[in-house]
Amino acid sequence: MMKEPFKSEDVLAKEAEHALYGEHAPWLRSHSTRRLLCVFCVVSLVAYAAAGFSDAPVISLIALLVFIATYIGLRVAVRKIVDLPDRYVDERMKMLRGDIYRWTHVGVAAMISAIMILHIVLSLMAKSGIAQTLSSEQWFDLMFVLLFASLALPNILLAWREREI
Amino acid sequence: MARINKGAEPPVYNRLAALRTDRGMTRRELADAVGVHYQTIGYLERGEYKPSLVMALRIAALFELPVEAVFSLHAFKPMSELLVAAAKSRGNK
Repeated sequence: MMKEPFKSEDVLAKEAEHALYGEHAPWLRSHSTRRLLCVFCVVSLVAYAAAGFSDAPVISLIALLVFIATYIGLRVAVRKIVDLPDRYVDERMKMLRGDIYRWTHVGVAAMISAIMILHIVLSLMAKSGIAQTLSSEQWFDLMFVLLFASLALPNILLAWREREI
Repeated sequence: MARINKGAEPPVYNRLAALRTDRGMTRRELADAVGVHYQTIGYLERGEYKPSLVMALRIAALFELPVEAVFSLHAFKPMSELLVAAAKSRGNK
């Protein structure tokens, strides 16, 4: 017997219909609101990283909650185009998605490169006694930010770029 | 071996908005008939998206017109100009 998929086709079809054609929260889809959500998303991630470095757990938690709220808002605002299976999106959306994922790849590669450079610089500075290397908690926070950023980046790029969604 | 043309792609002009209005269709109705999202029709009408061959053929078939009557690499003459020319040619006969 074949294993049931994670989501049944009916549920997925309803979700796609709701996301692509639903008229809920139209204000969320205006270009200015979407750009504002992008800014909040990026700022919350930066705040989360900064709070991790300066050991401020309350700010970390607030930043995380703001990130989650804006991430959910962004997904609704871009009609989940980034995540829906190919069979539910049309050729323009597929092309758009291809473009967005290409830029996300570049963005994530740039972020990983920046973290590696930071690691090298801090190691060199630590050897000269100028600075300390990052603690395992700080590395964990940084990896968390990278994970969140890679999750949010396709939605951010789509929300920022597209005039109409 | 043929090389990829590195120049900018030419625009694809279309008469979609005029044809859709002429047939009294909404963007949503046209989108449903062609099988795309209604915003894709908006993008097509504004010339911000070039359709695939399949989509172009589907749209042309829906309007029962040859594909070159709906899409072209050259700008279409305005309908008013075509109507005046047609009226003139009728008057000459």
